[in-house]
Amino acid sequence: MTSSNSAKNRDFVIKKEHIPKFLKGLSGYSIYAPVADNDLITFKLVQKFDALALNYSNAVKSPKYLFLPQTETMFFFKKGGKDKVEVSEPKQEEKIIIFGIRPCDAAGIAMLDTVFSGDYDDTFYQKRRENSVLIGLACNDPDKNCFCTSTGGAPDASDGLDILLTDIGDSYYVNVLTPKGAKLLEKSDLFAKPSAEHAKAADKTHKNAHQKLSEKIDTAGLPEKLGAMFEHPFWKQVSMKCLACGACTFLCPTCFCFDINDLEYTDTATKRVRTWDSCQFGSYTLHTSGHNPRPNKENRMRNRIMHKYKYHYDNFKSPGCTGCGRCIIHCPVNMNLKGILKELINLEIGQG
Amino acid sequence: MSKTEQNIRTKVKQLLDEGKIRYCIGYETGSDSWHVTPGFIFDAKDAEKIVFNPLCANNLVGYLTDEKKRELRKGEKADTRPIALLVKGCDSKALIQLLSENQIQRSEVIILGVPCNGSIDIHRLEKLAHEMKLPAEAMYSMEITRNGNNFTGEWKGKKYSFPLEKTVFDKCLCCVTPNPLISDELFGDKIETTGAKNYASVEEIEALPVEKRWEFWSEQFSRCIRCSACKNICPLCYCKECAVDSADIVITPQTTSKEKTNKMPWVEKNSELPENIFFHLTRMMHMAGRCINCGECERACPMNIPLGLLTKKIEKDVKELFGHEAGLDPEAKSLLSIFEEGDPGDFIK
Repeated sequence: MTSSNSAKNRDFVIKKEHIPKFLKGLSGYSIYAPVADNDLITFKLVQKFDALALNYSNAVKSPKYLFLPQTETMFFFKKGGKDKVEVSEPKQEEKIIIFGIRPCDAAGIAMLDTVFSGDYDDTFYQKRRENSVLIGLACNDPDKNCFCTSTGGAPDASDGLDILLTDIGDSYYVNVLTPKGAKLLEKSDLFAKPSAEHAKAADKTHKNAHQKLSEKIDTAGLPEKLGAMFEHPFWKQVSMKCLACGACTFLCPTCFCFDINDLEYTDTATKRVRTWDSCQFGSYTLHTSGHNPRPNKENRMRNRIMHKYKYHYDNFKSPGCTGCGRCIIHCPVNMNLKGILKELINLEIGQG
Repeated sequence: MSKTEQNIRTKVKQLLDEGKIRYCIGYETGSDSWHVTPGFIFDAKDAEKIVFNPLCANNLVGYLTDEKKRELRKGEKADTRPIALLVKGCDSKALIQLLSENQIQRSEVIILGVPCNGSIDIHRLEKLAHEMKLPAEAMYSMEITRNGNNFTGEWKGKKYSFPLEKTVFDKCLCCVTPNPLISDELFGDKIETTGAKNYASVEEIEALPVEKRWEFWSEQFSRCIRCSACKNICPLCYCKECAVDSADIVITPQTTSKEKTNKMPWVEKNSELPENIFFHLTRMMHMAGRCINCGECERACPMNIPLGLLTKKIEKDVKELFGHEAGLDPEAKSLLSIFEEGDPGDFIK
């Protein structure tokens, strides 16, 4: 928990009615915030700040696409005279603020940070990330499918965030978490020092939210167990109803697989794009020989669970899942990751 | 538990006990009491997991062709016994269409038919419950039953009522096939149908000028995330090689490298608007004369794209142009592979 009973000197309060004025004053940034559209909450580029959907559970898709766009042009190339290729890169200088992002999604972005700055520096991702400020909104009322506290997160966690807001009625309690966050606030006169009551209210709000997530799935020992059950019949049984669509992976805040293709751009130029890919698709690991090491959906479902709860753990010592619950909420066949985890934990796998 | 549910369980248990089926595809309770999930019952003792209630929306027919695509595990022997399958009225049309397209044989399936007088759209029910300020705790622990033109539930002694027209799918409000058109055994009483086909929503779009229609669909398709849920849930999308999936290609040891490189990706993976439009419209063209309007693509779409408007449009067009309706006759010839003298030819200029 980030809160405490006594306000720290990096804590503030802002009246809710002042939020539009604050956002309007942030010049030089594109501001993305949750808005309601077609019965869906999505993060969109916002210019008018009085109709934000801040009383929301979570957006249908994670705002990870602001850093890892579903379709990203890497460069353009065309023939430039004899034996020459002209290459140009798209400009990428947009500075963005994500306002109202939930802690689970910010944790997802923190997770992607480690992936895209690991063995290989992904400059496309890193540049977008450097040019961003994340203002989070703690969850007061987690959804019944949420399980962030089982994956190392919390409804008021600060991973990946520069500022954390907590809804305490007519105001937001403001935790400034990074110098980037502090810089954003320093010119504004809309932020006041919090009183002891404010701090108490934020603390109580956080505690209430934690209480709503009291059901914890204990995943200790799961990576090792998964490692021992690669060929277990469990995978067939659990994947029977899976459609092998990519709804779960495309909405997920941590899935990052992509594919690279060349596309015709104009009559003479081509662009190289990377697009999201999903391990649930039949073509995901299809070799050019025609052989596919994951021919059936049971192999691919196994990969999804293994990646989140074993491989990511092996590489980064934390699960590759933030417990946002999207894959449960939006699955057309109600595949229930929480249920699968519980089944895995209770499963007797025997020897070998 | 309803009598229908009990009878289904007894039958499935018997079929499994006698070893007559590979497994049964039905419904089980899902992540909470307001969600059901497809259930695969292999063991007679699990037959009691089967549920049947107004929340059973999924069309399970597609799992039949899905099973055929599965490669056997090392050492696994093919099981040739039939699969028992639960079908509602609309589902049965998908099954008939698959039979007519020779994708499954009648002997491969034991059809457990269940008359259905409307399935609940869980998103509409949740929305209504939120409007009624029902606490989450109440919503997901409440058992929903049908009472005349309402669904009702009880929580802590208080009764709640959800009107039919605000909770079921639009397709159910104008359903003309509540009873399975084909079955080996029917569970529950046949339902008198009072519904009539209704294309009002399609006509509304048709009446718009072309620019407005373009604007409307561009806005809808711009939301598409190309997750393929619409295509993969479709009980009639069974091709191993898909026209709208750029990488979904069938390669055998005999496929030459030239064939591989020349494989035309009709639809690219990028999720920009032109590709999204091409993805959806091409898919729809492939469904003409085959789609039975079960509404699964629209239900599966996480981005709320109103795909049902398109499936209804093609159903309407096919009916008006060719007097054809899919999913009624297992012996029927496929619309797009036959030609009759009276077929309209106005499109040939």
